[in-house]
Amino acid sequence: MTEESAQTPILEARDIVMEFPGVRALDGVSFEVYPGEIHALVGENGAGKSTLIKILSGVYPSGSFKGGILFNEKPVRLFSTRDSEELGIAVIHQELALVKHITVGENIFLGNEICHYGIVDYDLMFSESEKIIAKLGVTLDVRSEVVNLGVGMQQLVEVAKAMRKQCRVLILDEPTAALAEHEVNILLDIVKELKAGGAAVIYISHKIEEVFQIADRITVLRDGKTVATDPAGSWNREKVVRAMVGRDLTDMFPVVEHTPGDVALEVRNLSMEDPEVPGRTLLQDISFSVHEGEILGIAGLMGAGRTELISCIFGIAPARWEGAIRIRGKEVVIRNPADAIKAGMALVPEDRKQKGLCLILSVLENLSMVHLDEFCTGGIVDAQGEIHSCQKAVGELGIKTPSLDTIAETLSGGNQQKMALGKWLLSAPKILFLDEPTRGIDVGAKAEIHRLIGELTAKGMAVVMVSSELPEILGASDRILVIREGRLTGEFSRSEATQEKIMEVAM
Amino acid sequence: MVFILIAMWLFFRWRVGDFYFSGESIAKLSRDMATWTILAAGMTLVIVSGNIDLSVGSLLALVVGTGAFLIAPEEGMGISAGWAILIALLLGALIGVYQGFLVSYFRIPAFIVTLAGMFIFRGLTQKVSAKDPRVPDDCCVNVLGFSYVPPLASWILGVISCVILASLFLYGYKRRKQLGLDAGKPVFVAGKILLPSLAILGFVYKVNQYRGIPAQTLVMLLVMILMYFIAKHTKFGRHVYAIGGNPEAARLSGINVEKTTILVFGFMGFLTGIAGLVWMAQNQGATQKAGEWYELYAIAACVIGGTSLMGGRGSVFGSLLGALVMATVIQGMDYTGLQNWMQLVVRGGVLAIAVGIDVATKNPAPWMKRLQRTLFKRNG
Ligand SMILES: Nc1ncnc2c1ncn2[C@@H]1O[C@H](COP(=O)(O)OP(=O)(O)OP(=O)(O)O)[C@@H](O)[C@H]1O
Ligand SMILES: [Mg+2]
Repeated sequence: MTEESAQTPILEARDIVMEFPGVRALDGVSFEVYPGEIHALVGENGAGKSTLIKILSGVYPSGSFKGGILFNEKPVRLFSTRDSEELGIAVIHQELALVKHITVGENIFLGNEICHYGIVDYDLMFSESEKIIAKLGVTLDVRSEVVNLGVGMQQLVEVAKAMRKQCRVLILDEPTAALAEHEVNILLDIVKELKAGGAAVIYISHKIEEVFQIADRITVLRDGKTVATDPAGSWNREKVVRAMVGRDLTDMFPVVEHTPGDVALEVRNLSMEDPEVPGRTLLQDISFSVHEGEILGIAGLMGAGRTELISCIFGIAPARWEGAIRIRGKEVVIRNPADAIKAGMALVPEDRKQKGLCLILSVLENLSMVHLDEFCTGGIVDAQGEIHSCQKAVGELGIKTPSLDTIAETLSGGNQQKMALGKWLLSAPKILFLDEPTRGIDVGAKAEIHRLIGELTAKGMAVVMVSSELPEILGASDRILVIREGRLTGEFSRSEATQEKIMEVAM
Repeated sequence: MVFILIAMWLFFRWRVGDFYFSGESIAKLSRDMATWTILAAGMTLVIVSGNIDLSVGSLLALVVGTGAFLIAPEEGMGISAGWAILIALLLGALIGVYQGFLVSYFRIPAFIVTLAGMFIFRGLTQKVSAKDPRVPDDCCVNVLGFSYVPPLASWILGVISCVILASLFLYGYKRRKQLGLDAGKPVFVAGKILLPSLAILGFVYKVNQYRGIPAQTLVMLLVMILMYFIAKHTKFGRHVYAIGGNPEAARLSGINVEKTTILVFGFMGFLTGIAGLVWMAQNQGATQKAGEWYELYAIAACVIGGTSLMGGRGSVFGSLLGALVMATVIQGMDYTGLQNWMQLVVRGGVLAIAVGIDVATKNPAPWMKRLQRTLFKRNG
């Protein structure tokens, strides 16, 4: 760092103030990044991290905020993302921004298609894309449509898109939230390589270990203000958390000994064929059960079939499947989510944008969507009761929103995730499926959500939790199942489970 | 939107003269818009649910044709008006349900289903209305077309609706306060009560100078109120917004997307039936050209009123305002005696401009923002 600190910052924000209706998202934030430096930006959900980088990348055009941006010490005005791209600023946004129904290759070159006299040269484009993807160290068909990829792969396509051009500043907003362990390592290696090449990197993440692994400096934001900016060496985990949350956080997973009751859900010999490759099985002969008052963690790599497994149970299987589902001993047929909900199940899906929420509707409408019945008499909604219980949910989950009428889309990513969870908790379900429940949620809120889940479990709810974060699985679950390539390969109780044992059967 | 409307009224007042604001002219405006404004109410739900219905004009013609054919003693069958009305309404609703069925269970895009319907129903209309069946003068259907609520009763209706409106708003205000929600400034609430009340009373005052509230206008207003309520305050209405906002998330939340879609189209068909009866009454019979362009008027009214063609956003009240804009343009140009081709051009122009202004105020393109800022700086 010594020779670098003598240099001048490549990108600098000065006294940025940004206001949205009802919230001041940024309140006089200054921030700078030097070439060859990885500068991590951390803070609670809604602290203003995404807003800051949207300003640095021209998403919010010059004039919509107060304060200045300097590039190489010269003031610049960015009116669109194109302006920032021209300066060599590449961004991977928190919310995936790929076009779903075109191929990976086309997405990578979106807006910069390789053309000869206006005619796209697909062959060249695809071969270039392949090169970029190969550099990332993953195997991926650049000619397949983006919709066919899981969230993790899509995230890597975003990375590839950002890497297409020689970039001088790379900004990553929670790039690893959707990635599995080994994908994370690939990404971190790429980032380090770029840094070695002299690029400046701004890195946002809620995974603090990861931040310490790569950051040279760390800035903590809270409520739109900078708490501190210091070299990574002078921080430690506790200090960062305290700066973020404003208090000490002792215990992420409150270890409550649950006393499992009767069997709530039993799955017998569940098998499913791959809808795209006939003859290949996606899930094979899976049997397990969950008890009332128990948290069952399901571990495994991305694509192992975890999401598909709970999809089958919840009535949204992508293909035909066989097997039996019993709820409290009785065999049930679940044809669609409505059946599943009637049977007392709830599902928080992994992709909140596509499946979890109606982003253009209000917080209120989203929260009450599932349990609207409870506020209805004869099909007419009792607004009072609805507002009342939604307000309670907002309070309990700590959803940061100016009001219940706020459009869901304008909440910060983490707060959207809390909403996706909250809409199911309005009336306590009997069996709760969580697919990556704390993706993109800050440490404080994560502890809060796990406390809530723990409480509900203690009251007799059965929880099935899929997560790619091993610490989360290990910390929260009473029992852990491991799935590999559609097969059940291991089962551990809380006391016997360790990271190594799980990885061994998962890989 | 309201400003556009007032500007247009003033403009036509200037072009047309005193007659434009007379009771007769206003009553006529409200009568002429009744049919396709009823369609616009249903269309709002259809568009909010993420669909579109291009067939309503033709379906209206078919309903009118069938109804008139059943009633007409000479050209048709001459059965009693009561049965004919029932059959006509049922026909509309069933066809709506059937189209919804094709859209939801067969996954044929609504655009295509209803485009096909537009041709099919028009074709059938040409058959049933081939002889232009006429409804006899003494038929009870004609009440819808030619009678008026007497002035005194009109006043009572007007005052009652103002009182209801005021108490609803005040109640809502109080409750939001109680719940600690943002209730808005008292000034705004007062404005929200006063402006519509003024509009209602003004309207009643004016039409009373003529003959009272026209029956079809009353039907239209009742339909609008009903649909407003359904959209905002029922479970079904909320589901419509949800499936328009994100069908996938709606389904995962246990909403029966297929059933809701079918119901939406069913409502649309039923309202088309009602609009058809009004049309039949107004014209005392059917023609092959009944309801031409109506689907486009209805869609235009919705869009001018702020309903998003992408689904998930819109309100019935907005569509009523949008319909007023459309009606004002249509009527105003009749008065100015422009040639037909010019009228069409102006109609299209107004549609584009009205939506353009709406978008510019709600969600301006970057260049507009920049322009606004530079203009603003110069002034301040
Ligand atoms: N378009 C918008 N309109 C209104 N408010 C917004 C908008 N975008 C963000 N906000 C608000 O600004 C605040 C900061 O949001 P931001 O997305 O920057 O948070 P964040 O730090 O990235 O959080 P997370 O970790 O959850 O992603 C939040 O309170 C959010 O509700
Ligand atoms: Mg964010």
